[in-house]
Amino acid sequence: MAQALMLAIGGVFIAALNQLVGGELRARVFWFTQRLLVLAIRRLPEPQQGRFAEEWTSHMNDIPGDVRKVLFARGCVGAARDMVAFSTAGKTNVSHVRNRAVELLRALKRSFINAVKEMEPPAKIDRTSGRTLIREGIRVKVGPTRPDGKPHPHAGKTGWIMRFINDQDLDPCRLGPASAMIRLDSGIKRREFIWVSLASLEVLPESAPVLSESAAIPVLPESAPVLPERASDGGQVQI
Amino acid sequence: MDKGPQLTTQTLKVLGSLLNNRPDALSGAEIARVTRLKSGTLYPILLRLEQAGWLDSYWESETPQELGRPRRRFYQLTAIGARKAKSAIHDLTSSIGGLAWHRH
Repeated sequence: MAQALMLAIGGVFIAALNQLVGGELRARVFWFTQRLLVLAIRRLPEPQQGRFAEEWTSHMNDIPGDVRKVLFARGCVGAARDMVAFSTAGKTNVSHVRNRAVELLRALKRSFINAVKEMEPPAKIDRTSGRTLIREGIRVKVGPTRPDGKPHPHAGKTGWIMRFINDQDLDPCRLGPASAMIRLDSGIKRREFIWVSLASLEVLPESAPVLSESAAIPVLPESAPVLPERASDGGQVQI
Repeated sequence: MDKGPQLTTQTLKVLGSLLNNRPDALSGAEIARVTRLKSGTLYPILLRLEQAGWLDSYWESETPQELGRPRRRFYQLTAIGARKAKSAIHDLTSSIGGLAWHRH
């Protein structure tokens, strides 16, 4: 008799506990499935988000059982990944464009450095004025206007940008003012990418013009560091 | 030339389920029940078929307020989709039949 009573009390206790834990668990499962669905929907392209948010929520309501709901929501995350992949196929992938732009910039710098290395002698320093006189360089054709139709800020009517290097600028990371045309910061845009990819390099001939103070071409500032004097130069300016 | 969607076994299952219920439309949940496909497989297929013009989809006519739940979206084969689905299933069954014939 006592055993039966104990079993009855135990049964009631377990049922109450089950109700309590079960309710808690269901709430957790609901929260979890909602989170998964939100994650899936955020992965989708924006025009499709509203549609699938409603469609998938509706579908999930038709599924019996908490575990199956979780599996459904988990499947939606994978579905969203696949749907994005083929929805954007053939369209511009921003990260791909950015990577391509970086590759092009590196190639441009390599070409520039190689071209400069082949030039002898390098730029000379005017010891008397402390000004860096630049003789060698390359020019980059970018067209007179940018793809958006606006005039290029550095190129003249010919569409060429002058790129110069001096003794201090053999560092490939320092290409002078023209390197500013390729912005590697977060503001890079697709048209800039196209613009860069259309550029071509041309090494200036030996008779390249000597830059003067009045030259429109960007010249390094006067504060540019002066190289130690070369023995062969004898401290004389050679242009 | 438009290549159309890739006709995998799962895609054919979806097309078959819609063909069998034609002209009625099926919701995503109903298609999943019939084909036993998981959501991760089903919805990319539905979207591909829709983008290829083989399927048409539309919302339930009632509003969520009237229904008291989110609306279901129904899928239906278009005329071109039905024709191509029939052709694809016919090709598959005939090739399987051909293989069976060669065995004997």
